[in-house]
Amino acid sequence: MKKLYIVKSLIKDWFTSQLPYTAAVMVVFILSFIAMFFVATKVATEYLEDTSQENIYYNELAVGMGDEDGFYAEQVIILNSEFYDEYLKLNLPSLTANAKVQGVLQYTEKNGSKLEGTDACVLACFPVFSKEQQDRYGVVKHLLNYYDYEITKGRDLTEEDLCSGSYKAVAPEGYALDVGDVISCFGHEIEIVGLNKPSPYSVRKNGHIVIPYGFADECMADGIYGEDVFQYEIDEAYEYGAKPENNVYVPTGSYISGLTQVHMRLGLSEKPELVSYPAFLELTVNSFVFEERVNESQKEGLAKLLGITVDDFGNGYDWFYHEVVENFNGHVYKECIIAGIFCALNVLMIIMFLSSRNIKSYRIYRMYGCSGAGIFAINFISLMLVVLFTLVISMLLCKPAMLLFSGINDSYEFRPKCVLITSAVLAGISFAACIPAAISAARKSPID
Amino acid sequence: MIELKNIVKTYYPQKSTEVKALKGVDLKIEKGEMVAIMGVSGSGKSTLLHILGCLSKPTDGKYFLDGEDMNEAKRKQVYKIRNEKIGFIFQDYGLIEDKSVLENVMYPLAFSKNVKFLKMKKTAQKAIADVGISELARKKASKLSGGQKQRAAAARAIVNDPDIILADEPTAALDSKTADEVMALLKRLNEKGKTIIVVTHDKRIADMCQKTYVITDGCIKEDTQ
Repeated sequence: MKKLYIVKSLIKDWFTSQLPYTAAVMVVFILSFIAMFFVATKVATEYLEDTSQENIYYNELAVGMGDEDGFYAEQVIILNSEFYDEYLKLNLPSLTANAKVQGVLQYTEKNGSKLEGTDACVLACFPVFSKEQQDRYGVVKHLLNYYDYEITKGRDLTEEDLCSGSYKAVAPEGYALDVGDVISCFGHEIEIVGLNKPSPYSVRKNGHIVIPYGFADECMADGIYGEDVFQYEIDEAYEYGAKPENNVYVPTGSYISGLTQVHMRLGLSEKPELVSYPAFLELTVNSFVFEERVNESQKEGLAKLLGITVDDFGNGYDWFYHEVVENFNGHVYKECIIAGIFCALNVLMIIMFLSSRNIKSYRIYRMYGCSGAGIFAINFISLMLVVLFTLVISMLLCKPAMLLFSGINDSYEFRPKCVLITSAVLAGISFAACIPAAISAARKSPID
Repeated sequence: MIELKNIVKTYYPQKSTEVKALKGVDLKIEKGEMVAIMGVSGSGKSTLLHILGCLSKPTDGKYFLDGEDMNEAKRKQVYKIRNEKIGFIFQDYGLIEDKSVLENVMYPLAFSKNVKFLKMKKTAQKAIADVGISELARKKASKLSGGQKQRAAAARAIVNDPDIILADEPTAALDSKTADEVMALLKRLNEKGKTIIVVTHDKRIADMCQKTYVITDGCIKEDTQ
């Protein structure tokens, strides 16, 4: 109780000192701490994002994202999923299976022996299209993020293998598979006819098992579970299944500039009226990408062309907005971290200052019988109470601050878990930071 | 009773900056005496006072306080003695300027085991009243005059009711009238049975004490004149 009296006295002194700068230092301390806390929480939020959130973000980006190289201004309008199915049925009945052509191949038997849970059981698979299939589906290899490989042993799949949908595959080297091995997958026996490795030109750098597209297509129905596939694109394939019955109309003259990049034809029920649209960058199975932002009347025009209402459009991805935010994030995030480090240094210096501020008091306490350990305890508890007080303020301010920032950028999301982790980490660091100051104070001699 | 036997204090021993502040000091002070230790600046009088106050240890020699060898005393014992047996008054008052007189006087009680928390304030107020500055109890130390500060320091020195009061140049920063008042206060405390040891370079102050010792170049002898 008596020591707490001294602690209270010290803290009161820091906040209400006659020396005006000490009170100012306390304000700077609190502001620095809050800033440090906010940056740390943001960093924690970035690194502790849970998987479901990541997936949501990934999907949002994946749908309708055109070119990964660099930024370009675009706006993606996405069809709502309930409409999307119907839309595909109407317009692309034979191509929907392509949506999940890449996946994971799981096999449970090798050369007649059962396998259980080894790494060799699961392989990322990549289906290969025959020339005929490529023509039919208009597959554009580079847009498929294609797996380009070299044969290191055995042979490659032949055109015949691919066209017949035979159960043959080329396995990646380095796995527990060799030429001649037979693996069992979903009741089918697949013979390994060769081993491959990614070519230097391959977008994908990890080895994949290569299987005929026909088999992949067949297996999908049997349960090959596909990972979320990078956006696939279909070239102009109107001569085959995707060919719409009606003539294809383009919304405006400006559309012409984007015509070469259109990978799918739309089946429209009636001839559209000319509407002034920004140039299309591309169309995909469920999205429309414009070079410039589309206004509401233009959206209505597009909906009318498609025979739907504006409400059938989902939340599109607005690169005009995101580009700015991403740039903002890219620059500001780093600077925020640097600022956070400076704030942390500031907090540390102020802790040292607050400790040294009371050296005269510590000498007097020691003179009147306080031990070094007592000085340590008084100083440490005083500093920690100030730190904890500031920490609580920071925690309380965190939510409104995050909400405020989320109005500017939706990545500022309040997550209590992150706030608690940040608080615990900062409290630990602050404890550690207070120890040298407290030791230094405890070592002061009562005379000097 | 205080007894020093052949006390030596050397700063920075075996270094080029070695200073022998005390060179074999023998001193005996009886309980209830009022003693002045005189000497010019740098003669070693403050060093002697620090040893008497258990604020530093001698390099060599023996220090007995009430028959107890302080060289052998454990740290906790030394802290207790500093808190309960000795009061300090300094030339620069040693007050915490931002705190009130009352708070300053209460500090020694915070480290004492003899006074309970709830009685700290009352005990401090009594000490303040004893030195005649009750009306200044709530004033901040920074707002006091030199004489008032020294009285506040005296109140802090006596608050734990110590047997010994060590005063290091208590009047050096004061005018002669105020100095006389402070010395009168110390005398009054002495009359109440306290042992007072005043370190001073002022002969007039020393003359107010019962005995005077002169310290020169680290050696001490009684001034019998």
